[in-house]
Order: sequence, then C-alpha cells, then structure tokens
Amino acid sequence: MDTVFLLAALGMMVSIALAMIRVVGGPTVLDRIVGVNVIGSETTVLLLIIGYLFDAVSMFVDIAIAYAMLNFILSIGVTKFFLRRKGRTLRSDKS
Amino acid sequence: MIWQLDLFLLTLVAICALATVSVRGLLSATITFAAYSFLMCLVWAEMGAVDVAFTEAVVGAGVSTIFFIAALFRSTTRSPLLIRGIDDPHHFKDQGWKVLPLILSVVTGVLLFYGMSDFPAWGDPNSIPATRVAAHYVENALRETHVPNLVTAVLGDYRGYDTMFELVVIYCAGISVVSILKQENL
Repeated sequence: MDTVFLLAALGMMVSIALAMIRVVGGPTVLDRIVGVNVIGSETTVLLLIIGYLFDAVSMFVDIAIAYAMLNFILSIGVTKFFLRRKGRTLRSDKS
Repeated sequence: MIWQLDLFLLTLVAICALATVSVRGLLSATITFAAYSFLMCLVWAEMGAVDVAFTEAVVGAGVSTIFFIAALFRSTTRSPLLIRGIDDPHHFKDQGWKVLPLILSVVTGVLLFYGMSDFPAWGDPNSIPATRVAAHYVENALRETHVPNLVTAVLGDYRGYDTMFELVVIYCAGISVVSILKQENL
C-alpha cells in the first residue's frame, strides 16, 4: 500500500512540475497566479499523502487545512491588487 | 525521509528560486516566491518537521506574499518595468548582470556550504543537540507538563517566558503593520 501512495505522490509531483512551467514561463501575471493556485491545491493533497507515508495523518491534516486556507487568501490578495488596477495589468509581461 | 520525493522537490525549489531572481517584474517575482514557499513547506513536512512546515506555510506563503503585494500596491513608483516587467523607454533600462552582488552571493553560498560540513547527519541520535537536554524532554515532558505534543510542551512550558515575550514582539509588529496599512484604505 505504501508503494501505491508513493507512486501517487510522484504523480502529484509531476503535475506540480507541469503547473510550474506556467509559473516560471507564463507570459502574463494571471498565468502565474493560477499556476501558484494549482500548486497550492496539489500541495494540500501531497501533504496528506506524506502524512500517510509517515503514519501520522492526524498531524498533517491540520497543516493541510491551514495550507488550503492560505492558498485561498493568497489568491484573494493578489486579485484585490488587480481589481484596483482596473485591468491595466492584464497585458503580457514580455511587451 | 523519502529520497524520491526529496530529489523532485529540491529540483523544483531550485528552479523556483532561480525563476524568482531572474523573472522580470516585481509582481511576477512575488508570485514565484509564493510558489517557492509552498514547495519549501513541502520539504519541511517531508523531513518530518511539521511545526516548521506550518510556520513556513503561514509566514512564507501566506503573510509575506500579502505584505509584498501590499507594499507593491502602496509604493509610489509607477514604472511598468519595475512592477510588471514591461520595457518602458521613459524609465531606466535593465542593467544586466551585476558583478559585485554575484560575487558576494557566491562567496556567501560557499561559506554556508563550508559551515554545513560541521552539522550532524539528519536524524542522528548521537549528535550533540540530541544527547543533552532532548533526552530529558522526551522522557519527562508528558509527566511534568501533561502536554501530549512534545514541541508544544517545550515552547509553551519549558520555554514559556521566551515564547511569551516573542508573542509581545510579534504583537507590537502586528500593531505597527496594521496602523501603517490603515492610514489609507488598501
């Protein structure tokens, strides 16, 4: 069963790496925000899988919940920034 | 410690750190830095240091990103290059590699790696920090403090005064930040 969870964790890692392509290379800032949001969501799951691998899920559930909340707060904070700039920041980074 | 996850995670962390430094525009750099914090939190959790991971998630990924964005939002500069990474002929140009900071950071990195050779191996039960007071905490904490979590017992009981005055400092810092941000509606 541990092998299954380890493989699942590695699969999540691959999908984090795919989201990372958007974060690092993404032409607009919005691409990066969505990429970070995806990474945050996947990290929540990954934390629980790591908790299972360590046989201490109850310890990792708390941090996973806090993580999901922070991910949400982060998106709201960044979006508020965009709201104030009234769409002027939506153009590409690379002119 | 699961080495497959470690290898993958540390590679991603390194990519993220390089991207944070090299990306154009402060807003993009802030967001890439948030991704770096998220991954760093995973590294701590994966090493079994759940408390450190919790702190990294709250301070690194959550609060500091919001503070960076608030600072960006409140800064008076309107240079598109600085904030969004868009070239603007009316503002200063990107100056390429800066030699002195590069040398300084490389030398600091080499020194840190040199200092790291003195560290005990990860999870070594015979290392000096693990053989002095730690054994007393592990054996007697539950009986003396009735706190099931060992880290909480050390922080809240054995080092109670330390933690209390740390909280005072953090409370003062929080009041200052709130009063600065309150001056104008964010």
